Amino acid sequence: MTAPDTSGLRLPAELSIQNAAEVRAELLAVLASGDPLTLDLSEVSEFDTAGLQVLLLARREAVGLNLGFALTDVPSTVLDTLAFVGLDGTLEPIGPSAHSAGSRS
Amino acid sequence: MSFEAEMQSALATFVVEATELLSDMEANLLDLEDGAVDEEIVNAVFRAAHTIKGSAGLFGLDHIVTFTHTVESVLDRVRGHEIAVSPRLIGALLPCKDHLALLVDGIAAGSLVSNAALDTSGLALQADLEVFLGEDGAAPPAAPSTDTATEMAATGLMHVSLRFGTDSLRSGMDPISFLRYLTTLGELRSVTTLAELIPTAEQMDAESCYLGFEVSLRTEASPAEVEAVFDFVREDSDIRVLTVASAASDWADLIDSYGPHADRVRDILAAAGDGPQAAVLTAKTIEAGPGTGVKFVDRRAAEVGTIRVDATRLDLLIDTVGELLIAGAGAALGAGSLNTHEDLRNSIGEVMRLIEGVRDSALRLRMVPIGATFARFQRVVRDVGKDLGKDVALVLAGGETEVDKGLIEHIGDPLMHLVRNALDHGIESTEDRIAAGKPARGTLWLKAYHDSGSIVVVVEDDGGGINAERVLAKAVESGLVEPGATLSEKAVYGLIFEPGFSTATEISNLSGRGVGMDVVKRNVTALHGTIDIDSRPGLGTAVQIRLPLTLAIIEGFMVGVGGATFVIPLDRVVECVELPSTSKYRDFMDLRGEVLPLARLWSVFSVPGERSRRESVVVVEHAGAKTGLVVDSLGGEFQTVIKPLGRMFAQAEGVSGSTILGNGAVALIIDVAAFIAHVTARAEQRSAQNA
Repeated sequence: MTAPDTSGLRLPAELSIQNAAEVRAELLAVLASGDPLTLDLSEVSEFDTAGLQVLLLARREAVGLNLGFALTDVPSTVLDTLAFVGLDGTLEPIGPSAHSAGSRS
Repeated sequence: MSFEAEMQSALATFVVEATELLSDMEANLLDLEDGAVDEEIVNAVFRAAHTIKGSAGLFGLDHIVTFTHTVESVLDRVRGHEIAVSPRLIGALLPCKDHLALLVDGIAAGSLVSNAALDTSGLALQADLEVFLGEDGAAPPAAPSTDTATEMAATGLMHVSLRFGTDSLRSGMDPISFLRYLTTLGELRSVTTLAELIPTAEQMDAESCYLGFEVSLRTEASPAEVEAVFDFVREDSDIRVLTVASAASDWADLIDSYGPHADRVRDILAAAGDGPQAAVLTAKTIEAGPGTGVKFVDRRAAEVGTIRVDATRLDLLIDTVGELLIAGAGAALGAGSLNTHEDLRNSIGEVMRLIEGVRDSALRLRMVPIGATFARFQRVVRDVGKDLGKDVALVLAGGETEVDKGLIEHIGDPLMHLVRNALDHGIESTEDRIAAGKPARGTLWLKAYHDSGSIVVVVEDDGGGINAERVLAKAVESGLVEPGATLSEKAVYGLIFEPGFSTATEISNLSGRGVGMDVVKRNVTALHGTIDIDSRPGLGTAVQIRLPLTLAIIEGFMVGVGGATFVIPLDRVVECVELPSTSKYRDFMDLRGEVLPLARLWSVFSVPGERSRRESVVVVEHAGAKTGLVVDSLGGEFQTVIKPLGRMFAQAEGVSGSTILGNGAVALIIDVAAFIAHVTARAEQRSAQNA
C-alpha cells in the first residue's frame, strides 16, 4: 500500500465546460477507489457553471460514500463566484478527514 | 470546442437573433406608421430594442449598448404615452434600426468594436432622437400605467427563477454570467442554487446544465425588462419572473414545477420574502392540485417547437440521402436483374419506399416560408415610394408558401428589381392616376403560391401597363426587331427581357441602375425557372416567376449517346421524335413544317463510339427557341439529385451539373439554356464563315 497522496488532486486551470467531463470522470474514479477527495484549486482561473456542477456532484457522491471532501487553496475568484450563487457554505470540507487545507508541500 | 469557438458560436446566435429582432422591429415600425394603434406593437418594438441592448451587454459590445440605449429611452417614452407615434418619430427611428443592423452586420463580419464612420453616423442619429427625449425636460420615467407597476415601484422586489436548458452550457450560455448581468439591473438580494437537480453520478453529463437558481432581485426595471435579459436562452429553458403582484397560481406553478423538490423551493421562496406569504404558497399549491404539473409539461413542449440547424449540415444530410437513393436504386436494379428471392425483392421495394420518404422529409427541412423575404419589401416600397413621390400600398399574399432556402437567397435580387421597376415605371404619378380616374394610392401585390411542383411568385401593380407600341418602337430602334414586323402582344412584352432593352425615357436613379430585365431573366433561368409578363394598358402589369420547388433535385430525362448517358432537365423537354432519314447529314430537320435546328450530342461532347442506326431527336425549348438534340437512345424519366461540378469544370459550357446513376456511372446534366446559346453561336460562326 502506498501512503495516501497528501498533496491532494490538483484541478486544471480551466474548471469549466472545457474539461468538466474529464474532471468529473477523474473525481468519480478517485471516489470509486475509496479515497477521500482533497481538491487543490490553486491553479483554477476559469470557473463556470459546468465546473460548479462537477464540484457539487463530487461532494454529494463523497457524502453518499461516506468519504471526505475538501477544497484547498481556493482562489478568490472562485470563492467570489461561490458566494455569489449562495454556495459558499455548501462546499465546505467534510470528514472523514481529507487533508487539511494548505498541507501540500 | 475551445472557449474562442464557443464565444464565436454564441456571437453567431446573437447576430441571427438580433437580425430577426431588427426585421420584426422594422415591420412593426412600418405598421405604426401606417396608423396601427396597438400597445402591443409599441411594446414589441421596445422589447426588441431592449433585448438587443441586453444581449449586446452580455458580450461587452458597448457601442451597440450605448446606441440602443438611446433608442430604447425614446421607445420607453412612447410606451408611457409621453410622446405620440408620428411620421416624424418613425422617420427618426427607422434609420436607427438601419444603423443597428449595420452594427450587427459588423459583429457578423468579426469587428467587435465600432469604427469612426459608424460612430459619427450613430451620434448624428442619437442627436436626432434627443428631440424626442428632451421635449418635457428631464421628465421622470413613464408614470406607471398598471397596478402591477405601482406595486412593483412600491416594493421593487422581483423573484427570478432560472432553469437553463440542458444544452445551454454547450452553446456558451452560462447561467452564472446571466446572473452577473442581472446585477446591472438591480441588487441581487439572495441567490439560491438548487444542486438537487443534478442527477446521479452515472447519469450526470458534465457538459449539460442542471442547476436551478432562485434569485431575489430588487430593481427599478419592469418584469418584462428582466425577462428580456433571458430572451436568448428562452428555448428549452424555464425562466420565470414573478412579483408579489403575479397571480398566486403562477407562484404555485413555480413550486410545482420543481416536482420532488417543491418543498425546498417553497422554503426558499418563503425565506426570500419577495413573493406572497408562505401560508398562501402552501394553500395555493394544494388548491392548484396535480393538474398544474401536466400544464407545465405542455408549456415546455410548446417552447421547443423549433430548433436552429446549421444549413451546411442540412445540405450534407440531403447530399447523403441523395446518394442513398442512388445506391438504393442500384440495389433494386441488381435485385431485379438477378433471379432473386421474392422476399428480397419485396424488402428492397420497401427500403426504396422508405428512402424516398426520408428524401422528401429531408428536402422539406430546407423549406422556409417566403414571407420573411416578402416582408423586406415593405420598407423598399415605403422608401422608394417616398423618393418618387408616389403613394403605394404593398399587399402581400401567400407569405406562408414554402420555398427551398437556396432559392430564397437567389430570388431576392430579381424580386427587388421587379419591385423597383413596378414602382418606378409601372405605377403612375398621383396626378396621372387621379386624371385616369384611378385611386390616388397605387397598389403593388407580391404573391406566392404552389402550382404543380413549382412555386409561382407574382409581382403585380395597378399602374399604367406596358405600352406595347413604345416597346416595339424601341425594339426596332435598337435593332432587336425588323421594322414592320408584326408580333403578338406576348412576344412584344417578351422583348423587355432582351439584353440592352430599356424603355425608360428618363433614366431614374432607381431602376436605371444598369441592370435590366434581361438580368432578372437570366437569374430566374439560372434557377431553372421561367418568367412571364402580362400587361393591360391602363390597368397594370403582372410579372410571373415560376421556379422549381428545390434546387437539389430535378426531374430529368435520360438519353444515351455512345456509351455515355446524359440527363436533360424534363421541364425543358418538349417532345421526342425519330430523326428522319432525310436529316441524317443535315443540321436541321422538318418538324411539322417548322425548321428545327439540330445539335448532335456526340459531336458537341466528342463522345466516341458507334452511332446507333436509329437516332432520336429530343426537342428542347428555352426562351421560345427550340433545338433538337440528336441522341442514340432514349432512357426515360428519372428523378435525380444534382451534384454541382467541381471548380475545375466551372467553365464547362452546356453542362450544369452531374449525377450518379443507379449503376454507379456518372451522367452529365445538360444546361439547355447554355446549350442552345452555344449551338446558336456556332451556327452563326459557320454562316459568317460561309458568307
